[in-house]
Amino acid sequence: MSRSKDALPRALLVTFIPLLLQQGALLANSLSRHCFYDTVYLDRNGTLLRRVPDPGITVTFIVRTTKKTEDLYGISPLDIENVERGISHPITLEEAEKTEDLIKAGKFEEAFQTGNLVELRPLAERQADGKLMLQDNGRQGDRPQNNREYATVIYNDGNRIEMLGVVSNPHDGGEDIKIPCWETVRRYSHSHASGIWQVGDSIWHFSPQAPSRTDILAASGGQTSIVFGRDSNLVYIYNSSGVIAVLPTKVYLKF
Amino acid sequence: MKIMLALFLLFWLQGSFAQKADSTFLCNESNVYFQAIDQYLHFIEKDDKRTDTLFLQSGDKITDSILSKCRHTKLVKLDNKQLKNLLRERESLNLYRIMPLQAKNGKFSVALVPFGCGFNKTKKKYEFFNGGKYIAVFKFDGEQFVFQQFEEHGI
Repeated sequence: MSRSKDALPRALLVTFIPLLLQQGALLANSLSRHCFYDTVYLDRNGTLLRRVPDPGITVTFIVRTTKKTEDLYGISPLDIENVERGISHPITLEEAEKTEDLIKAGKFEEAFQTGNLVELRPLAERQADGKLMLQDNGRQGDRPQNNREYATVIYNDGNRIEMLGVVSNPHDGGEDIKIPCWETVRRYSHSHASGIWQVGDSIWHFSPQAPSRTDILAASGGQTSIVFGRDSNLVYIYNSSGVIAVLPTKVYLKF
Repeated sequence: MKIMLALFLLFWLQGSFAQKADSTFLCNESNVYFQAIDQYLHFIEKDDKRTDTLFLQSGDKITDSILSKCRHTKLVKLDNKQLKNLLRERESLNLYRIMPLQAKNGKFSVALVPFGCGFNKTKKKYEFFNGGKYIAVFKFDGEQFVFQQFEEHGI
């Protein structure tokens, strides 16, 4: 009788201990992914291509965009006439596919030599930016948080500041953020508001969501800047030549 | 106190100077709003973006006093009904809203807010897309508004 009483817990132990060990091993593996450094490669749309363990620091690269100006800023006469219409600086589909194939094949050096990879900023920095920018929840409307711009700046001395624009609405004209000491800015990110203003049969929007003409003109040299399009829910990476990479906000804040 | 003084000065200028050369209501080239438009046209000419027609949103006293031509550009005032009628004939147009004269820190400014306008057949709504504003800054020297600078404030 007592033997049969002991048999059940023993059987349970025999069954569950290996399972528990397996779970522990899986947990350890998943933790190690975050503890060790990786080089992450994203394709032109922000989809994960490869994650390669790296003894250095975690770095993320994205293949340059193939989206043309009309893809990012629209093709209707209304879009074309937009006074703040920016410009894209894409690569061809063939070039993008070639770079992505090289990454898939593990030929990273060759992929770099194409010049079609854009390095993202450190993840912690991107996530700190995202925390601010996502105060605009991207759900349009007249919510004050959705009717202002947000900006983060890192100066040459490493000092980082966060700025909030004036609450405005697209009916009265958007308000940009004046950045102090622009000449000494090393990194700059800002958002384009999702807010709308609606009266009767008319709707006012902020446009464009991608970097505006003013943004691109203000970009200097090879330094890349960032726009969070809160309505489009995309992050645009641009320099003085135009938009060079585009990816979903969620991906920008994850990898 | 400074705000009160600026507001007082603004009302004083709008009222007392109505008969003088540089007014916000006189229908001539010295009208400060007309001057702001003139500076905008000068600004876009630098980018070779000369336009033959500039559509202005009307419906307030500001546009009543604006001349119908500036430089080489025809200034067309559209009220809401005229705008909607025009958008049935053409797919889109750029409309400019002129904001009332503002006074701040002893300087005066007029903002021009551009909108790309169109009729969205799917949503059955008139859509207005705004990408910021332009601001013409003036100082008042006691007799007239003197243009200081033109600012582009994109989003």
